[in-house]
Amino acid sequence: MSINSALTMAVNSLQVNQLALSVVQNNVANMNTAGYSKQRVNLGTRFVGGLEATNASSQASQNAGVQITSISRYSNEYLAEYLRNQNSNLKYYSTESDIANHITTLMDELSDSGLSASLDAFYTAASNLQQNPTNTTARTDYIEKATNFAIAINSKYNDLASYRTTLVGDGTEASMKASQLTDNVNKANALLEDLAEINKRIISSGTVNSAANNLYDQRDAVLSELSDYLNITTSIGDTGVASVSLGGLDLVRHTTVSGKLTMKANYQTADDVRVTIGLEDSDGNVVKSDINDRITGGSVGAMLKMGGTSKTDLTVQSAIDLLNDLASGFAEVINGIQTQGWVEQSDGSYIPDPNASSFAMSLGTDENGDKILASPTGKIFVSNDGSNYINASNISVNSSLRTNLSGISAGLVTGSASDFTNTVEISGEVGKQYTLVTEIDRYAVGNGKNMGAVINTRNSTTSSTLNNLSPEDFLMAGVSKIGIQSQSISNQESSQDAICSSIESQLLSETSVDLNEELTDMIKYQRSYEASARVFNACCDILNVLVNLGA
Amino acid sequence: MLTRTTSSQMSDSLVKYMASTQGKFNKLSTQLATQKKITSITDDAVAAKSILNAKKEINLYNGYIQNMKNSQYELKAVEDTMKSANTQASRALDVGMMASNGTYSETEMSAFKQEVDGIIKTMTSLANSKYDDAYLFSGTAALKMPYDLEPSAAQTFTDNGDGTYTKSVSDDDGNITTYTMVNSGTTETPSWQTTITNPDGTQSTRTTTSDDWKIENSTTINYNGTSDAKTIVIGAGGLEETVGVLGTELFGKGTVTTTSVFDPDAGKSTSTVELDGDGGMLTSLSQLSAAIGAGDTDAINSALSGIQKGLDNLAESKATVGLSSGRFDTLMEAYDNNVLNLTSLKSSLEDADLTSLIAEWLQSQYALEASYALSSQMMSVSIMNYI
Repeated sequence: MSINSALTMAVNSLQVNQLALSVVQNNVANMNTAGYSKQRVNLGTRFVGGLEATNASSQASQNAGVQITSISRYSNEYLAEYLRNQNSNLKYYSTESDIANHITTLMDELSDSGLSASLDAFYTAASNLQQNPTNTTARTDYIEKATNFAIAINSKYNDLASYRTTLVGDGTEASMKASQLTDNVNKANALLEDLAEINKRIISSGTVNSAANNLYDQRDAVLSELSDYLNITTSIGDTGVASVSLGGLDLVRHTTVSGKLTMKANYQTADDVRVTIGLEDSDGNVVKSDINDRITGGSVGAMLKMGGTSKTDLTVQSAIDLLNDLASGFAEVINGIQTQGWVEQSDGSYIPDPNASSFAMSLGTDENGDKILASPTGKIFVSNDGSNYINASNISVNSSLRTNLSGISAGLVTGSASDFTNTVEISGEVGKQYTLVTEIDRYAVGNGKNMGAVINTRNSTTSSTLNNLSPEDFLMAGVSKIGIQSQSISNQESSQDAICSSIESQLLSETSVDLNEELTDMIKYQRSYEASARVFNACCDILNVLVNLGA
Repeated sequence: MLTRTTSSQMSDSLVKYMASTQGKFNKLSTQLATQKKITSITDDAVAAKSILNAKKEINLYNGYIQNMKNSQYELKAVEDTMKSANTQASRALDVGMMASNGTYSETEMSAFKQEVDGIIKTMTSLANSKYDDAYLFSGTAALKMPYDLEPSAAQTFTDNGDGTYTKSVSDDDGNITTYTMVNSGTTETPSWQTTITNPDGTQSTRTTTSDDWKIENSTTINYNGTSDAKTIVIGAGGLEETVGVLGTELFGKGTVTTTSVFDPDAGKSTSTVELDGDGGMLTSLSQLSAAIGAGDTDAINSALSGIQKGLDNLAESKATVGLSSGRFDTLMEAYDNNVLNLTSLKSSLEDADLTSLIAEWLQSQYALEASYALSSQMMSVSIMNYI
């Protein structure tokens, strides 16, 4: 072994340690970089010569110092995949929880400004009107409180519908494209493209080296982010290339995006808005037109579910349905009482029902201007869009009753259809409205029994839409169900968060940078570097001695 | 191999613990600021439902209570009116008693009649009492004045002082027909002829009939209200209660007719009073007035018995009103208790116990501060400080 060889080994050692220090530096620099996996320098002995050394001298002459055999990366692919799966669930629950919180905020009934407060005000007004059926203020209050309820429920409906539009659109392509769901799907598509690109670079980077390690980190970061949006399944090939699938359908295969997410708005009705997600290949051919049922995780899954049409799970639609049923049931009950015993004709007038025994009575004036009981002139609640079906979006108070307060049927008389006549002049007209045949009974305008019937609906109703509950109880049951569902989602999020935290912590424990470890390595390589430098100096001194021999 | 605990892992965990402690601290701060344990339905959906239910029940009971309170004011007005009616009727009874003993002069009897007529006016006014712009005694015909006293078209009989007599009959439109009776015979064999002068001035003469000597004057006590009283809902399951008393139960309705027949031989009239109706205070008083005016003792006694019956009715109705009011009191007390219990339940569910909350808040604050201190200490521990 020549002195030059020792010198070369010292130089080599200096270079290797310098490189090792640079890896340590890279680790320290990235100690706070999310998704960064600690890299480790693996050193090996360097040999020269092909023959097996037979003695110590030849063995020594074969030693060529140190070399970096590899720069490995601290990773645990199985744990990372498990974390991605769990993260996808977490993102699903957290998105669900955010949406559920928003719904419960909109449906907040604990405050004094909710729908139950409007209903209470309405019933209080009915109670006042029952006591003072001829009092204009009491009539105004009744109709205004009914209007307030209609406005309150319209407003809540609009809030929920608008929130759903923000979330998934309103069934039109334009609104869908501006929705959060589209943002999320676009981001997922972009990530699929990124992954395909990273796969290409991994393949082109060839052997395992530091550059590939960084690509693996990038790949893992993309996969992790992708799991935020979708419930992906990943498989990592021998070369480190990641393939991704969703519910058995390939999204990224090697270097190609084989399944890009597409979206289609599907409008059924205002209360049945659907978005269909499909897959198309890189050439734009449809792979599958509807994969909604396969997207069961990530924020996209949660948005599809919460913005979907399920009536049993908590969705924006289920909250809207609650409002629709409340509006429809309440209108049915109050209108039923308002026109009890009367049959509406095509011209909007009412004739006594021959089968009825109780008749709601509004007020009119006789030819002397005295108030008398008269047949109803219209319903309290009507739809403001001409539809026959009253719901939360179109419920409004009959404008004619707002101007003609006498039209409120506060009275209720018992008898039969033959007790009524339309031959009496009522409010300046003959034949349009009915009153009682018995003259003395016509003037029973202090009869507030029909308001008693309104008040009684506070205990129960016969409306199947309201499940025979009172409107307030129906609302409470619905809101409470939303609360329980929201609470359950929140609990699922919490427990999923705990699971993810635990796995994340475990993964960090295995892959993240520890400063103490790095500083220890730094000292180790620094010492080794210093020692190699001394060897180098010693070799130089020896060479000097040799050069000066005989001088 | 030992499990690695890296700096990143440690800082990550510390951030999570701090966030969790901060979250708890924030929640307690919100509870303290609002003094409510439950600020959102998701805090505790089951408790929130109970709160909502309690709120609804409280509102429901308060509605019934308000209904009954308002009705009690109305009943108080009814009771006060009945009290006044009682005073008036009692005085009428005294006057009637005096008039019935037959010892008073015509002038005194006339004064009695005037006093009774005054009582009738007051009683009519009482029967037409209003509460909150609605008549108290007209049943459900709240805007219809329940009582009006309608005198019949007047009939008068005059002794002309010259042996002739004139009966004057007015119809509803005020047109007057006169009957003039003249004796063309002798005192022993009278031959009475009646000359009828119609409103248009035409005249005809015929033999006098017995009806020509008779005049009838009546007063009709009209009740314009309904036969059903006002009711209000005072409880679940359609529980209703009648508020007030119908006018007919107290003041009655009917017609009092005074018939006077002149006897030319005796030179004086004899009057009788008849009541066609269902009794009651106003009808009996009208009967009394007419009877005093007619000097019909039987009718006075009959009227006095009617007034006495009316007083009994008043007492009975007063008791009924009192019972209604008492029933309201009982129910209101029960509902008040329910409201109290429900308020207490609601409070226990939603209101924060300030003492324990402040203690918990302070503990949480210390925990948060400790976690900050601990985190900064832990983060600064590194081998870097020793090299």
